[in-house]
Amino acid sequence: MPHPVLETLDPEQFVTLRNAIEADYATGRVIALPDGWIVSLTEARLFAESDKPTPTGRPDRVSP
Amino acid sequence: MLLDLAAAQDWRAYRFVVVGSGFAGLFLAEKLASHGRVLVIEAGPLDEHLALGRGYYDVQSTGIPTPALGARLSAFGGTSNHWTGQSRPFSPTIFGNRSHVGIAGWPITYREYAAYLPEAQAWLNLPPSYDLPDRPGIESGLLEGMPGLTAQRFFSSLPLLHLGYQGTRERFIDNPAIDVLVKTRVIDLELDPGGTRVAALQVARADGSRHRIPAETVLLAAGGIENARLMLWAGRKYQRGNPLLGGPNELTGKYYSEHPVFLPAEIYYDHRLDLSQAMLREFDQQPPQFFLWMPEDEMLERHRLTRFGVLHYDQGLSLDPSETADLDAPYLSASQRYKVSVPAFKFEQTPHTGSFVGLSDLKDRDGTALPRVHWALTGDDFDRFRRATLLFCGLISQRGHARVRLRPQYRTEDWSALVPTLSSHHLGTTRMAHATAHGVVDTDSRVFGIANLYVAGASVFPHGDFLNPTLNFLALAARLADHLTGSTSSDCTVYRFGAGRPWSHLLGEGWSGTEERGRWTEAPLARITVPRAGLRGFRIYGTGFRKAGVTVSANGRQVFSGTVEQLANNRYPEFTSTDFPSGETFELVFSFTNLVTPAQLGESDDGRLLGYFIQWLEVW
Repeated sequence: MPHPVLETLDPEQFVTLRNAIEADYATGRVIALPDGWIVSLTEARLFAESDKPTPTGRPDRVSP
Repeated sequence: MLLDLAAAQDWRAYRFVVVGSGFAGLFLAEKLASHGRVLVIEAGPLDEHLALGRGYYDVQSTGIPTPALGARLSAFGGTSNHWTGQSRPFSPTIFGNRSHVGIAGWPITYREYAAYLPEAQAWLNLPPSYDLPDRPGIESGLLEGMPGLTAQRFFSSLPLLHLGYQGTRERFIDNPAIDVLVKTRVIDLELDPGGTRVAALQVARADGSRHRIPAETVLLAAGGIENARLMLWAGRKYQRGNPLLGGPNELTGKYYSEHPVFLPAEIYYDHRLDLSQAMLREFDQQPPQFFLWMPEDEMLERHRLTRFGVLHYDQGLSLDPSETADLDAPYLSASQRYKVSVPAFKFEQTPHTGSFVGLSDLKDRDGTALPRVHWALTGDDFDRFRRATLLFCGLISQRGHARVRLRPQYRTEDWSALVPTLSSHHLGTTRMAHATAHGVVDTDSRVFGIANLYVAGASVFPHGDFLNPTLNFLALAARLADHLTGSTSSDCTVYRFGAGRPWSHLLGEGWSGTEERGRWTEAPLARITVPRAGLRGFRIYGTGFRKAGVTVSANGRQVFSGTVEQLANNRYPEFTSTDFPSGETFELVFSFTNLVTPAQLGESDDGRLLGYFIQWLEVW
């Protein structure tokens, strides 16, 4: 399933958010979604602010 | 040789009596055999080493279910006979104070323990080094890709050591300095009238016969449950707080801990890192190696976590189809590009007194109490396990190399209802400590207050990391053997004070208050005079009116000055020196200030002074 938010961003925004996501993971700022997938707080906020569905965990959609 | 108990024996010929023939017992027997004759007493038979121990290893489980307790074997060779060999040394971290999780550390240093690792590794047929070799594929793929994580190895021995198997057991049985009694169970320990030495062991045979075996030095190596159970059973017939029960706080059996194991997450690795292949290659190595992720200490400290490791067994994709049914079709169509693993998360448990081995009301065929095993984890433990899992999942995901999904039963904020898998590693029931107030054995693995009783095995761990214990308790056993064969072991004398104690007469001026288990000072000056010359060190155990000031002098040399509270908080005050002026006697002088009476404190009408209470003194 495509990443519903990141792939819609321009390259500069993409890098900024990707770095924020990686920093979240590296420092333990993660949560478990109800379906069990573990996402960063930045990802969770992006999904919450959008009307897009949450991802199912395609790694290549987080890191280019 | 194998002994016939019915035949007359000269028990005094044995310098060491070892209870239990598992790893700790036979390792010690072999090491000590070059310094004196050793008698090994094994409850189980010589053969049947693959049979689960029954009867003697029945337990009453009242805490977290412990169905695998039967995995401990009662036979010659003990549980070594089904050892799988997974080993890794303790982290230096656990020896220090970890205030972020409220664990005080070990009473010995990492260096004191690690000095014996090479000997233990060699004895167990383990590789001499645990360092990762320079393997670019793994180094660049894993370590550089996952800051905050370390990749480690978890070795298995080659060949696997099974001490009771034919071809191995002969090295012990045929050793001319080692004699072995099998099918002989130690059912009681008999202390001398002063209560400071084990005088004899009571043993029972399967035919119901009982025998008394006098002992010079006794080493308990019967496992983390049985060591504690035997001490508790033997200690029940003496006064409260006696050393077999674990001293004033009766700590024998307390702090029982395990390595809780959970399988909480599915890890979907990106094929581009080829992580699963990297892990699987480890299994092609000789000896077999397991791949272990461990977070760096800084991560654990920052997140206030105990130690844990994530162990990848060779299991590959083994998910129940029902667990993957809700994955979206696009993901499944790409599944060839992922390696899925459900690794074992092995956690360090926080030691606490609410987890314990005690005596059951149920009796075994010898009429002694079965052990009651009450394994308990705290709410903080479960919270740490959950937070540690999320932390690890984040670290493994940080570069987009993996996605992690919690398995259904773990998708909750509160994990306390989850039942972990236990490892049948029974830790901490006779824990090592500086002071009898905090543990059962001292830093030489000797039971506090009993001059000739030692404990070997994982029961002496104050806390046990998340790692399998065999290698680590053998290192401590090697240290114990060196202590026993060194110059200090037979020099230590324990003087216990109190009603009915033979040594109260050593308490001279100032010690007028009597209690059941000690003596109180009621004067600003109190002396202890010990008929002992050439003293190198001593320890005292005492407490008292905590706000009183106290200065302690040993043969004229001041060794402590402060408050009683500071003295009492100094764990088990130990003073060592090579320059105590020697004479015919050794004199300790306690000088007190700020003594008060209970009446002055408003606690009672009692006008006696509140000074210092001393329970025992050890000198060497």
